[in-house]
Amino acid sequence: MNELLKVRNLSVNYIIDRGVIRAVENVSFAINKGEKICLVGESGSGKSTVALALMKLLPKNAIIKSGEIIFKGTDLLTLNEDKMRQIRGKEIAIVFQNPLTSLNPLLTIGVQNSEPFEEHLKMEKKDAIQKAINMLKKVKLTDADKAVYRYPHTFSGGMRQRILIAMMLSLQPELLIADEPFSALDVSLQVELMHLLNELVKDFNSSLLFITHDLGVAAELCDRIIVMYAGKIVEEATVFDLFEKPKHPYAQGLLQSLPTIEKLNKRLVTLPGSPPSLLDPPKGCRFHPRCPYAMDICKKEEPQLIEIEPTHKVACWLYKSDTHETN
Amino acid sequence: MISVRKIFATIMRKDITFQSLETVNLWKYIITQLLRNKKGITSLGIISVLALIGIFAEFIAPYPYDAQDLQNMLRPPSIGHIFGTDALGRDVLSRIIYGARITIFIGFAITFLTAILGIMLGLIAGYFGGVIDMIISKIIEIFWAFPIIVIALGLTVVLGPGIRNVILVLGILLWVPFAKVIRTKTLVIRENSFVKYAKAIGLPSIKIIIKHIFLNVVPDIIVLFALTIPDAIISSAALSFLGLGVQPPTPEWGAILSDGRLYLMIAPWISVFPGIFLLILALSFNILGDVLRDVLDPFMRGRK
Amino acid sequence: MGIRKYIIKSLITSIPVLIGATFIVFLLMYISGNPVQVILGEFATQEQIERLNRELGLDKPIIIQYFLWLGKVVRGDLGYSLMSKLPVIQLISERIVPTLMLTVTAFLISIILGVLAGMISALKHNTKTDDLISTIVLIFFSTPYFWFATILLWISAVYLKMYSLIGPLTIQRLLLPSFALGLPTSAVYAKIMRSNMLEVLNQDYIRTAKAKGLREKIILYRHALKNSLLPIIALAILRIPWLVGGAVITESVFSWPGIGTLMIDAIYRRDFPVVQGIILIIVVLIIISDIIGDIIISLIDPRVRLE
Repeated sequence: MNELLKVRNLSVNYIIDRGVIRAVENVSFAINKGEKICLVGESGSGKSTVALALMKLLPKNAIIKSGEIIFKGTDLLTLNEDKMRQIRGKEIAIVFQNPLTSLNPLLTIGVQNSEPFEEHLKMEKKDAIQKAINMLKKVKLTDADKAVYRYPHTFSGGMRQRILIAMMLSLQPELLIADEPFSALDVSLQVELMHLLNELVKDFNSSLLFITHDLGVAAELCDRIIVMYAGKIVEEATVFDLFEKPKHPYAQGLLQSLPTIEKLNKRLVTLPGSPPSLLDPPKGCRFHPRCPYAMDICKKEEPQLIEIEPTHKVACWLYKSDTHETN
Repeated sequence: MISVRKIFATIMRKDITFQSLETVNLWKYIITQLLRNKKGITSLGIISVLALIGIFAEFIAPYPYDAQDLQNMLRPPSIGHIFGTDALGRDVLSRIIYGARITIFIGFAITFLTAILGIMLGLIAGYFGGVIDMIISKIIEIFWAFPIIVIALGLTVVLGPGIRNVILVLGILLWVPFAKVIRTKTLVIRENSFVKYAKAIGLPSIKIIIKHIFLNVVPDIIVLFALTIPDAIISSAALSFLGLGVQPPTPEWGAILSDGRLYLMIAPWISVFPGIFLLILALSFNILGDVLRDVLDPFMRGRK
Repeated sequence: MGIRKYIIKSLITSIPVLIGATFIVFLLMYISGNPVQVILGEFATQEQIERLNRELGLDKPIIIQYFLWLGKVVRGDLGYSLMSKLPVIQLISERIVPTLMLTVTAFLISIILGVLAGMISALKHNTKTDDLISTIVLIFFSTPYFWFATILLWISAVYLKMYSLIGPLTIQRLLLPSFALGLPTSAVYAKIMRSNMLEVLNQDYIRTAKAKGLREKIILYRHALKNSLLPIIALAILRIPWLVGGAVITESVFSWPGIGTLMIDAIYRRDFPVVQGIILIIVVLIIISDIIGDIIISLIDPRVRLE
C-alpha cells in the first residue's frame, strides 16, 4: 500500500474556563509515501492542532473527541504512551515554529542532537555524537564538529532551525511534520531552508506534512495542498489544480489576495470579516458569514468534503459530487 | 499621513479616562472576584473576624488584659479561663483578644512604611536608570541577603525597644520586594509605549508619567501588600519574642508567646495559643495574597 | 572575563559599598551612646571619664574615629566586649562553629525537602497530591518559626523525653533545632521549586524533548530538573550570610551556644562592640557571597558571562 498516513474524522476540542473550543472538526485526509502535502490556513484554523494531534503531543486541556489516525496500518490513538514514544522521533517527527525557544539552553547541541540516537537506537554516547555531527553536516551547519560543543544561544535563529531539522531527521522518519518552521526567519533564509528541507526529505524518502499560512511557500514545496478554515478542511487539491481552479470561495479569496506583479497599483484584495470564534462556531458552513456566495443551506447544514474530480475535494454547497462522496 | 501628535493625543486621552474609571472599578472588581472564590471568602472572613475582635476587644474580652489574679496563676484552660492563665494570673484569652488589635495594627503600619519606601525606591531606580539605578540595585541586593533578624536586633540596640521603634526598624527592612517589583515594572513601562512617543514630542509633565506608571503597578502593589503583612506581623512578633519589641504588659501575640517560654513545661498554653493565632492570621493573609494574585493576574501582565 | 579578573574587579567595585555599609554600622554604634559611662559605672569621676575618652579615642571627630576603627577592623581587631573584655573576634570565632553546624544542617534539610516537595507538587499538578503538598507548604510558610521551635521543644521534652537544652553538641542534640529551623524554611524553597518547574515544563524545549520520543525520566532529570534548579542555586548562594546570622531565634529557643545567642546576650547588655562586630562580619559575607554567586552561576549557566 502506498498510503502512509490516513486521518479519519479527527475532532479535537480544547477545554478552557469559558467553554469548549472546537478547534478541529471531522478532519480527514491521507498522505502517501514520498508525498509532500501542505496544510494551509490562517492562525486559528486548526492546522497546528492537527500536527500536534498526529504526534499525540497535545496540551493537557485538549481532548481528541473522535477519529482515527492510522499510521502504517495502526491507529495511533489506540496506542499507549510508551508505544507512542517509540514512534515519536523515529518514525514520525516534527519541527516546530520557534527555533529560539525549542532548544534547551543549558545543554550542548551535541547532547541534544545525539539523544534520538541514544534513545531509539541505543547507541553509545560517542557514536551518537558522531552521528549527530554527520546530520549537522547534512543540514549545512558550518563547523559541525565544533558545533556540538556549543550551546544554543551562540547560534542564530536560522542555524538553530537547521540544528532542529537535523535533530528531527536523525532517524530518517517516514513522516516529517513541519509546523511553520520558517515563519520566524528572514525571507532569504526561508527560501534556502525550504530547499534544504526539500532535498533532505527526498534523500530520506520521507513524506512531508508542511504546515504554513503562506501559499507561495506551499506552491514551491508541495505536491498537494489541504486548505483549512475554522477547524475544517474546505478544499484539497494538487498544487496546480488549486492555483488554477480553486473551488472553495475561501480558497479563491486567498489566492486573489496574493500580491502579484500584475496587481500593482490596484488595491489589495482582502477577505472581509475575520475567522469565527471556535467557542461558538456559526451553524452550517463555518465560512458562510464571510462568503460572497452564501446560500440558505449554507447557514443551516455543514457541507461535507466531496470529491468533485479525482484528487480534488471541496466542502461547499456550491458543488455536487461528480463521483462518490469521500468519507 | 497620521501625525504622531494625533497618536499621542489619542493614547493620552485614553489613559486619562482609564485613570478615573480604573481606581473605582478596580476595587469593585477585586471585591466581587474575591467573594466568588472560596479561598478568598475564607481568608477575608478570618481576617475580618480577627480585626473586629481586635477593634471591639473591650466588649469581647472577659477580662482586662492586665488584670492580675495572683490566686490563679498558671491555671490550665478551664471554663473561667478558656485559654488558661499566665504567670501573673492574667487571662490568656483576653490578652490574645486585645493582642489582636496591636498585632494587626503593627503589621499594617510596618507594611505601609515598607510599601512607601519600596515603591519610591523602585520608581526612582526604574525611571532614572543609570548610576542611580545601579546604586539602588546594589542596596536592594544587600538588604535582600541580610538576615533581617540580625539587623533588626542591631537597630533595636541603637533605638531601644517599643512599638514605635519596631515599626520603624522593620519598616526600613522589609521594603525589598516592593522595590524589586516596582523597579522592574517601571523599567518595562519606560521602554514601551507612550513614554517613547512622549520623548519624541517633548516630555510631558512628570506627574502624568508617574501617574501612568503607577496605574500599571497598582495591582502588583496590592498583591505585595497582602503578602508582606504576614511577614511584618511575624517579624515583629519575633522581635517581641526576644523581648525587644513591645514592652510589657502590652499583649502583642509574640510577647505573650515569649512570656510563656519560662513556663513551657508546666503551662504550655501560654505559648501555644498565641502562636496558633499568629499562624491563622499569617495563613489567611498568604492565602488572600495568592487569591489576589490570581484575580489581578490579567491586569499584571501588560495591560492595554 | 576570566574569573580572577572578575574577582578583582568585583572587589574593587565593592569597596564603595563596603565603605558605605561599614560607615553606617559604625555610625549606628556611635550614636547609640558613649560606652564610657557603661564601662566605668555610676561612680566614675569626671577625670576618669575624660581619661577613658581619650584612651578610647572618643574625643576625636567622627571621620577620624571611623578610619581608626576601620584600620583596626581590617587587621582583625573588632574591639573588645564591654562585658567580658575579651576580643570580639575571639568570641565570634568560638561561636561560629556551633552556629554553622546548626545552620548548614537546617539549610540542607530545607533544600532537600523543599526541592522534593516542589518537584512532586509540580509533576502532579492539578491532582490531589499537588493540593495536599501545596497546603502543607503554605501552612509551614505561614508558621511563625519561633513558635514552631518552641512547640517542638515542648513536644520533644514532654512527650518524647528528649532534653535538648544542655550537654555537648552531639548530632542527637542537633536534630531538633535543625528541623525547627529547616522545616519552615523548606516551604520557601518548595514554593519556588514548584513554580520554576511548572514554568519549565511548559517550555518549548520540553516539547522538543517529548517530540524526540525521549523517556520521561530523561526528560525530567536531564532537561527539566537542571533548568528548574538553576534559580534555586542562585538563591541558595545568596543565603550564605544567613548561615551566620539567620538562626538567632532558634539558637535562643534551644539554648544553642552560637552566634545567635551571643548576639542576643550582647543586645540585652548593650555590648555594642560585639553587636557591631557580628553585623560587620555579615556585611562582608554578603559582599563575598555576592561575588561567589556570580561566579558559580556563570559556571553553571552557559548563557551568563562575567563582566
